[in-house]
This record gives sequence, C-alpha cells and structure tokens, in this order.
Amino acid sequence: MKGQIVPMTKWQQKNTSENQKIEKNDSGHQSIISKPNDFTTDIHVNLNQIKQAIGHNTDVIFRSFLLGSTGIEASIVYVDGLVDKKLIQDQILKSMIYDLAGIFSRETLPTPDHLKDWINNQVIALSEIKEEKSLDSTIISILSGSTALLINNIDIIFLLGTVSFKSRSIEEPITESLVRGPREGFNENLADNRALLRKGLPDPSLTMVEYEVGQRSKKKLLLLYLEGLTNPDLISITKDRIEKFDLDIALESGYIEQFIQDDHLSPFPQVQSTERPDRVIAALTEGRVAILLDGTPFALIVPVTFSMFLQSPEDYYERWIPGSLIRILRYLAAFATVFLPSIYISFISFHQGLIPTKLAISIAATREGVPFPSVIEALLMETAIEVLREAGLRLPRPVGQTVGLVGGLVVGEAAVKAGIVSPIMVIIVAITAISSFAIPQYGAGIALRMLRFGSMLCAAIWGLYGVILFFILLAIHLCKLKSFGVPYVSPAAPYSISGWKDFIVRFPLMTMKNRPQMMHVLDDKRQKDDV
Amino acid sequence: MCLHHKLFLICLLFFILTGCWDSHDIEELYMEIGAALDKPKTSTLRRNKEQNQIKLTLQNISPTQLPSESDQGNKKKKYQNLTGVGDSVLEIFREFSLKNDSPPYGQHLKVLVIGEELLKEKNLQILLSLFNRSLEVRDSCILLVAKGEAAKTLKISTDIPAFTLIGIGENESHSANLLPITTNGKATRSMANDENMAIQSVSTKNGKIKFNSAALIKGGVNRLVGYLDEDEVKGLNMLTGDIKGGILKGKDPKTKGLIAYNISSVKSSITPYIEGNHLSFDISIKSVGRLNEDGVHAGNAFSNKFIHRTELAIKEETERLLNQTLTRLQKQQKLDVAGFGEQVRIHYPKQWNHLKRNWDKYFSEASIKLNVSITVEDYMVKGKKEISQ
Repeated sequence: MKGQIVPMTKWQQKNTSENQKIEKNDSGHQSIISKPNDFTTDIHVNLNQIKQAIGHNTDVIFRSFLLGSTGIEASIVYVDGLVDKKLIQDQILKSMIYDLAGIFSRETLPTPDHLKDWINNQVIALSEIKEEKSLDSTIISILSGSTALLINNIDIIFLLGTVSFKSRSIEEPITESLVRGPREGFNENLADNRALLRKGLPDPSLTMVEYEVGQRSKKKLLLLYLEGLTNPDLISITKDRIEKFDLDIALESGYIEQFIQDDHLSPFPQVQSTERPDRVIAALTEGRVAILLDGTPFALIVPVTFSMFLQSPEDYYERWIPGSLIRILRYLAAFATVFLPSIYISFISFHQGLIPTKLAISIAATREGVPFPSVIEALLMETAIEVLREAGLRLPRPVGQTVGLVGGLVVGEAAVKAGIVSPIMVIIVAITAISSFAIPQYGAGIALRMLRFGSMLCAAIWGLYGVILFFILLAIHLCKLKSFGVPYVSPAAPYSISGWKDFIVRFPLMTMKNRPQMMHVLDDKRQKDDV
Repeated sequence: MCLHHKLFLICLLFFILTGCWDSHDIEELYMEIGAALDKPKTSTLRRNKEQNQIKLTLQNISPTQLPSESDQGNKKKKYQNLTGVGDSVLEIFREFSLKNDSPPYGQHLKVLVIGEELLKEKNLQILLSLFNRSLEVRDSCILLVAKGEAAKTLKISTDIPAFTLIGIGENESHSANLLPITTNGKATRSMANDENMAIQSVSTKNGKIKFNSAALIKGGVNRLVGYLDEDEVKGLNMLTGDIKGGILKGKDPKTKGLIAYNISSVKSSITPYIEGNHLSFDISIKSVGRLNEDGVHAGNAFSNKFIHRTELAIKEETERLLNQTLTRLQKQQKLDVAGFGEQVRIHYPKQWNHLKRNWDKYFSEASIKLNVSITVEDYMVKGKKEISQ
C-alpha cells in the first residue's frame, strides 16, 4: 500500500494517478477507493456506486426525497453520529423540500446548471459547500462527517459541511498543571486547538500549513510558524521531514515525533510535546515551529534544547528570583535523578573513605545483615519503584493512590524490617524518584530515569571512576546531538553568553531583549532597546 | 584503521582495563578509627627481639559489633580493640588479617596515640613511617602522646573512645589548656625540618581521660624529652597566639577576690634583636576578653577603676604563666617550641644560618622582655553587683 503525505493541493493534483496505483493493488473491502471517474447524471447509478462502497455499513444513512413539487429525485448520504442532524433537517431537507417548491414547479423544470446555481447560492444555508466529482473523495468526506447531496440529472455531488462531533471541552492540562498560568489545555479537536492558538496569537504572520497524514487515518496535521520571524531553513527542514515519511495511521503526535526526530537511538527526546497553548505560543515567538495533529491534545514543538525540558512556563510567570531558584532546583533534581543512586553505590562499595566517619559507621550499621551487594539492592528498589509508578499510573485514580501508598510505605517498611534492603537505600531511592517527578516534562523524566540504570551499573563495576566515565559519555552524546539543526545543549555548547540569560538562571524579563540566538531568527528583537 | 575506530578502542580501554576489584561493601570493612603504639611489656616478648618490638592496638568499628535495631536494649560495646606485637607496624596489620574475616580499613583512622615509653626510645619519624608512606591513612589523623600506656586511652569508658579523643581535641575554643591539634601531616613536616614539637599529651586514670599536658619532642632525634604542665601549656599557647577561648583566673589586687577572665582573642608578636653576639626577644601579647565571673564583693563593673584592677590582675597572671613557661623552655628543657627560631629566620636570615645548628642553645641564653596588655572589653550583662551577704 503506497500511502503518502502531501499537502492537500498536491494530493488533489496527484489524485488520479494515485488512485490508479491503489486500484492495481487492492480488492474487496478496499473498493471504497475504486474507480477514477466522474458521476453520471443518473442519480441511481451514483447512489449505487456509493452504496457499493460503503452501503453495507449500518451507520451510513441514505435518505431519498423529491425536490418539492418538481418531482426531481434527490438523496442525501451521511454517517450517523458524525453529523449534526438538526442542521440537516433545518438547512437541507426543509429548504430543499419546501423552498424549492415555491420557485419551481413540475411545469417549469429548471435546467441542471440552473438548479446547481440555485442550490449553491440560495437554497443551502451552510458555510461549507463543495462540488465533488471524484467518488473516492466523496466517500472519504462522507466518512469524515460531510453530507453528500445527490440530485438527479446533475453529474456532481454536493458535499455539505455538517461535521459535528462531540469534542471534549477545554480543560486544564493534566500532565502540565501549573500553580500560576492559564488553565487552558488543548483537546482532541484540531479546530479547537487551532482556535486557541489564534486567540492567543492574533498575529497575521502566524502561518498554518495543512497536511494530511496517514494513508488510512487521513488525519489533518498543521504546521505552524511565524512567517518573517522563523528561520526559513528550519521551516523547510521541518516541511521536508513531514512530507517524507510514510505512515498508515497516525493516532497521536507521538507517531509524527518518532518520524521527524533526528536520532532515534538517543535516550533524550528531541521534540517537545505539550498540552499547553501558552507554551506553544511562547515557542512560536521564540522562532520555533509547532506541529498540531487532529485527534490528540499534544502539540509538538521543534527544535528543542535540553534546557527546555527543565523549564516550566511558570518560570516566566513568577518573578525572576523564585523562578530562577526553582529552575536551579530542577537542575539539581535532574542530576540527582541520574546520579544519586550511582554515587551512593560507588561511595559505599568503593570509596568508603569519602564518607564522613560517623555517617560511614551508621551506614554500615544499617546495612548489616542485608544479603545483597549494594548494586543489587539498588536495582531491586529502583525497579520496584518504577513498577509502582507504572501501576499507579494505569490504575483508576483512587486505586492508583492506594497502590502508591501501599507500595511506598508498606512494602518499603516491610522490606527494611525483613532486612532485604537497608533504610538508607530506601531513602536514596525515594529521593531519586521524587527528584525525577520534579522534572516538568514527563518524557524527559523517563529519559533520565532510564539513564540512571546505566550509571548505576557503571558505579557498581568501576565506582566513581565509572560514574565519571558515564557522565563523560553522556556529555559527548549530548554535545553531538542536534534537534532540527540546533545543538541540543546550547547555549552551553556552543557557548553563547546571551543564551545564559535563560538557561540555568532566568534573568529578569527586561534583560531578555533578544530572542534566543541559537534559533537564528529573522527578527531577533523582542523588546525595543531603549525601553 | 580509521580514526573513529582508534578512538573507540581507546575509549574502550578506559572501561576494560579497570574493574570492580576494589569493591567492598561498607559493612564488610573493619573500619579503624583509632590506633595506639606502645612498648610491649617485657614478659610478652621473646628475648632476642626485645629492643625493637612495638605493640599496636587498633580500635575498630566492625558492623557485627554495632547494635542493630533489633537488639537495642542489649548494651554491646560498639568497638573492638585488636592488639598485636611485632617489630614492624605493617607486619602487625597483616597479622590482623589472619584473625579477622575482613581486612582493616584505614581511611577513617582519626587518631593515633603514642605511648610515652616508646616515644622516649624510638624516633617518631620511624614510628610514623608506615602511616606516612601509605595513602590509606590521611594526613589529618590526629597525633597524641599518652602518659603511661597508650592502649589505655583506647579503653576508656566512653561510647567510642577514639571519638572521645577527637572530640576533646577539638574543644580548643573552650579551653586555653589545649594545644592546637597536631596532625599526622603537620608532624611529618616538622620532623622533616628537624623542628621541635609540642604535642598534646593525655593521661588516663580509672578509665577516665584528661588532656592535661604537652609532650615536648626534640627535633632531629624526634624523641620525647619532657612535658609541659597545664599552666605551661597555657603559657605556650599565649606565646604562639593560638588561643581561641578559655579562661584566665586572677586575683583582685585590692580585695584578693577571684576574677575569671574569658579570653576572646590573643595576639602575640615575637620580635628578635641581635646586637653583636647578644640575642634578645621582645614579646608583645595583647589579649581582649570578657569579665565572666568575679568573686569580688561590690565589684562594680561600671567603674573604670574596677575594670582597671581586673585588667591588672589578669596581666599579672598572664605574666606569671609566661614566665613559668619560658623558664621551663629556656632554662630547664632548653627547647624552642614557640617559634622563636622562625622569627629570627624571618628577621635575620643571614645570622640564622649560623644560629640554626645550635639554635636551642642560643635560645636558652637569650634574654626575653615581656610586654602584656589586657583589655576587658565586655562585662557581660551585669554591671553593679548587689550584695546580699
């Protein structure tokens, strides 16, 4: 099956040839896209074509009627549940059956062209109306919620925009809740999401390029950027990557992320996903590109740097001193997530001399009777806590909390009492777990938790030396990594002084007069210089 | 082979050439926290090796000794003392490995006590050579000299004797009778320079310990030659200015009442003068402190007269201490441990070259002028004393 993602216009141009290709390969159920053709003037033939394609489905409704007193046969086809029935009754059926009757009668039958004009211009009071000649597009449109209107003697089909699908209301984003900041999050409806962005950024330069993604899913994908600000190279790279990949179905923006990312072997996410419109808008004005996919509340932002995963919109909403301190705290938490257990392991199995004497003695006392070497103990506990996290996540919320409590307190306590693990290890594991949850982006948290196991193994085999080697390897990898042409650890490497204004410490907003240097934007002034 | 492969192989070496042979879990270690070196009792010795034998007592914390949560009521000793005799310290250490399931671990060794008998006979530098050569024992390990048997200091009836020794040693800000801590590193440096040293010495009695004097070690031979008593230690601290606290007791010249002066700071400067063959020193000691306690009835701290009397009393006491110390150092021991030689080296570097070889002799003949000034800066929160007696 040759599916392709192309901009809408291209897709239509290629329509014929593409359909022919499909015809060669497919049979049976795939007949929905069967013939490269136009419709005939006979409504029954047309109807039969549609019926053959999708008529066996119970949710496809065929409704035939006469145009008022003219006696012209007409028919509408729609999918139950995807359309607004009230709209169909009020705006289509009523006006076709009653209103036309006043104008035409059996005696003054209109010519087909005349009738077409009338329907387009005076009868149907809908904002979306399209004339369609291709059966395939018709069927896809019907399945997406349009209503097809067939009229005898007219060899085209009217596609009426009657899509009405119940979407979730705009709610607070669950994965990225803030103390201070807008409570709006994206939902699963692309139109809503697009509207949220337009509302937040009513700038004429905000450009949205639409793509269709997935040979079968036919999802709409929006590429957003600010024209005249975003680096054109970045836009073309992103467009290239979106156009290149081949996908059957795109259920979530995660599919897209995995196809457009730079390095699929890296543990670090190279695309940021967010539910927050304010985050997307901020990224757009920094010169980044956003990608929205229909059917998911998660928008993608490219390119990203490592520091973005440790930033929260709140850093900017709060005053700069608390904002900076909290950000520093997150960096420490990120470090603790990766290295705390490994440093502990290397201290107690290699470098006992580095621990203050009294602490060393008390650690030794608590470890007395523990049957495992420290690394096994650590792996055991870390794995247990990952399982707990996963279990608590998947279960219904009230049960999930219970699991967390039971797992954390009861099992931990019992394990210590039973002498399988030492209490200090429980403390270390707990601090590590809590630290990993302090990272605002879930995906980055997972990456760091994963790396923790690597560093623990290095610590177990080589001690602090191994931890340092692991750190160096990590640093090498991070320095090599690029996200859409932007170095992943900028502004640290390559070094840029102005970038440090918004790196580990967030400087006051009035000092951040320029957009980030690494984005190479066309218009780098954020504030006027003289203010 | 391309560059990438070479680089990869080099990086691989970092990993494969090392391994986990150093890995010992912390609870399997016998952590040494204190050590004592003694001359063994003659009865325990074999005749032929009598002269060179050393007795080593090691205080270990071993996890098996530590009370775990389950048996808290059970009062076990938290430490374990191991004793061995041999002519090399290392040999004794190795001997311990034959008697215990885990090797001794020296990085936490904090205190090293050397018995008086041993130190009179043996060069300290030789005794310490193992500790200085190996990296395991740190330079920050504290050195003490025991009056009597050193092993007894590790058997005093406290929770963990070695920690008690360290703890007392760090009480400098509460007592003027403590010498500044002599660490392993400091001692090594002094011995290398053939300098005399004063090392804190301790005595034990009935399982109690007291830091009450200073052992004088003669440079070059590095042997114990004598002691300073508590007052003399105080005087020595004054001379060097190494006082962070402690009290001086004086008598009010008018009423003979007690005056306790809490030292806040002492600044001392020793200025040498060489005129011809005559060597003399001016010692200026300036101390600031607080009036903490007085046994003077109707002592009115608001009156400058009383404060002046106080200062006078303390000055007298200070001079007495200094004179006592100087007499001991110059006339009896003939040993400079207060840094007079260092000042001569600084002020008269050329003459020092001639003097340094017989410095202790020159020092003992030098004349010394004292200049003491005491300032009571603070009489705490009490001024006039109400008398109800």
